Amino acid sequence: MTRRLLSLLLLTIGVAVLAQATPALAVTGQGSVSRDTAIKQLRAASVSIDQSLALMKAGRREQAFEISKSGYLKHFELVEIPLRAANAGLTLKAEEKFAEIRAGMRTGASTSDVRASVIELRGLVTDAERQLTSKGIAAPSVVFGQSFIIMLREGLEAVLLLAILFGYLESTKNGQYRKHILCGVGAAAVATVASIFLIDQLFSVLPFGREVLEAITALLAVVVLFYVSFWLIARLEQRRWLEFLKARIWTAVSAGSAVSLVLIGFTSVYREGFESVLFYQALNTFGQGLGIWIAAGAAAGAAVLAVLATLIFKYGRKLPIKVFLTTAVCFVMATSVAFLGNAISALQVADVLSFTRLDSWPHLPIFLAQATGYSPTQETVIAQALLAAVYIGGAIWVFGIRPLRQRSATPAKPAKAAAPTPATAEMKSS
Amino acid sequence: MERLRYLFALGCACAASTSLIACGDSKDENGAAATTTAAPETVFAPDAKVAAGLKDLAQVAVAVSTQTDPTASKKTAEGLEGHWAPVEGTVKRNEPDMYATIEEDLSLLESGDAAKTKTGAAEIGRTVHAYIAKHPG
Repeated sequence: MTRRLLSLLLLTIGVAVLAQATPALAVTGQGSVSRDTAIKQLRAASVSIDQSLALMKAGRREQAFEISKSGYLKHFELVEIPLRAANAGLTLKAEEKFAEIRAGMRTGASTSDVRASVIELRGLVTDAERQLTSKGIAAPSVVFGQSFIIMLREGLEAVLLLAILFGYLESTKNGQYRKHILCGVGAAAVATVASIFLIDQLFSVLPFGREVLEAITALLAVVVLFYVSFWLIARLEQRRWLEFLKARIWTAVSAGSAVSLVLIGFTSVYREGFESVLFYQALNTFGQGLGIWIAAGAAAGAAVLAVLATLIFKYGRKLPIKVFLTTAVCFVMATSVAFLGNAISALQVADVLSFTRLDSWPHLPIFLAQATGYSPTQETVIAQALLAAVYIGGAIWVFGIRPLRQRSATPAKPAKAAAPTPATAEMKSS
Repeated sequence: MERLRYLFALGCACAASTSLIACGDSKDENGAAATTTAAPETVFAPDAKVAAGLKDLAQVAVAVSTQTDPTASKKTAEGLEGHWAPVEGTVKRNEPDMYATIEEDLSLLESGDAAKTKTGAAEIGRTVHAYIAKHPG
């Protein structure tokens, strides 16, 4: 009965969330142009920008100029009315950039100069679409969920690892070394915060455009997310990492090296911390305008993590960690698919990757499109579909085919001896 | 009892979905819906006023093009918008191509580059002349 009630509640909330995604497009009109019409016109203007750049590259300057001019007069001029009410400065900037591109085409500017202006204009058009689109409830829910899961999962990984290390110290009668490891944990927390600023600094000196940097961040995040979540790699890697840390602890304890123990505490936590910084960097980049929801997700994740950490360390309670980690991995995988879509889109905006528009495919409101990484171009859709297929294939292999093969190949073995603590045992098996 | 629990859950579900819809029904998260600013493109002026405004615009354009220092050139170019904004709506309605050309020239004039400002000033002079010939004040 309770399950049925819960299902009903979730279903109703789900319907409400989906219902909210559509009104996000239809916002109040301003003058004679409604905002949803303005968004359609903005997309048409965006197409004209891309066409004119392609024509410039093909050496057809005059046609490029005509397309650019008609795109501006027929489409962007209609956008200006509601956009000016929302953000007059942005309207003026976009207007000037359109004029600059046309002037460049007319007065013989080089293709690379025009290309640079077009890339800037694409960024302004995206900003304009954000200004004209209501956030709704779906996009904030998605980024809140992504942020929550990243914080909770990465934090829980660190907590479980520490629980194993502490359990190991206790079982070898070396509990007095706990404080050294905790010093390392503290240092890792400081280093994680410092990494946020360092990455920002690093990005500010790199000789790439904003879009390319966004793409690099997202691609790095995808690689790390794939590495930590894809079952075939993650399980092996987790075991290796644990064995490595245990061996290091054993050596450090044998030699009585406090510094080594501090370093072990540092590396075991900073690894998760750095991953989190990278994921949040990507999440922030593509969650522009939704920062408050990302922060709320992180705060909620941290609060739940604090409760779980207390339960694990203080009471050693048996928690359904395995269920959580398996569920979280699914969300993490979905997040990596979203990041990949955003990375491809950013490279397309930067004119590093070409794109083939899927004209008949629907557009999502911009905030939801960024939260899911969906963009109706062949390249983004194929890349996302391939990554999703790898995950699904991996899941079928790990949870379906491999257990079947193992069951049919080997006779049942007696159960192994119990692991140190229930929670840590669950981590090993996950 | 079960029925009561079911009704309670249904009520909770309705309340939750209503509050979600209410949260999402942000009138305008950019705070723009309430303001109704007259966009320059929607402001129309009589031909005499437009002709006078365009002549002033052309004069400022010449002043910009005579500046040799890029900073001074950009500073002078800031005065262009004041002459253009009151008349651009009328120019756009009457002659969209000329309107687009003037905007391109303004972009050249605002660049601070000597060669570009000269091109922009010369072109804006021609366009203004052509416009006034078609729509005398």
